[in-house]
Amino acid sequence: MKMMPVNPFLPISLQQPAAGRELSPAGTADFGQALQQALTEVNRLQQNAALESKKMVLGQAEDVHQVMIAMEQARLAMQLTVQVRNKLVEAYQEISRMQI
Amino acid sequence: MQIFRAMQISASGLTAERFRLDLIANNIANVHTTRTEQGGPYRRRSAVFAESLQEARRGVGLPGQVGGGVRVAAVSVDRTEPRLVFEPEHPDADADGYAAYPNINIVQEMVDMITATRAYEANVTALNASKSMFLKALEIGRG
Repeated sequence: MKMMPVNPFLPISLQQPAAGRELSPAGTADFGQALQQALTEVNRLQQNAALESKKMVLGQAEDVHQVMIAMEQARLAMQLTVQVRNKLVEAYQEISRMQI
Repeated sequence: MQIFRAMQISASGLTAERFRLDLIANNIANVHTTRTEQGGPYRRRSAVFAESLQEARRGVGLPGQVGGGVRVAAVSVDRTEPRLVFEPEHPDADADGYAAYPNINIVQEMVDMITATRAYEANVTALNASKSMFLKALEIGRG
């Protein structure tokens, strides 16, 4: 049975965050970029919901269900964002409680 | 977002069923219409739906196996003979005194309306199911 070797720890350079980005393989966004993309998407859904409800109020809406679905999607995306944020804060607190 | 694909599919179903209900309402409203722009009595219209194809979702499933919902392919116009009613005083009556009325069976329209309403409800139920799946996924790791 072959054991997986433990990779040696690489020193994390706080001064050069750009060096950390180079470590991620090409084509895969790092966590910050992924988070940024997800937040942009959530923002887009919120704006879409606002636009749809505005159209509804102005009497230009084609379908009621489109408005409801847009609002529901915005709500769900927001809840997902809040959950991700909760997890991040949880992880941060876990580390900050660490005994040194 | 990929996670909202099921909602988009249900939304297309809702739009399609609402469109079908529009046509049914139009058929019922025009049940006694003897004049149209094309001439002759109103002709019953019905929707033809087609599967809307989109690129398959990534990850699970086989490529091309998940469609993108439904779309209205065409509106077919009924070509059956109009219903002739003997009404000599009617302005649109022919030389023999028969007025041509649309060949619309109101009972059939009512049944179509019920199926459209139920199909709409089924799409709403599917949409709510996908929503509750999403909310359940958010509960992972909680509690």
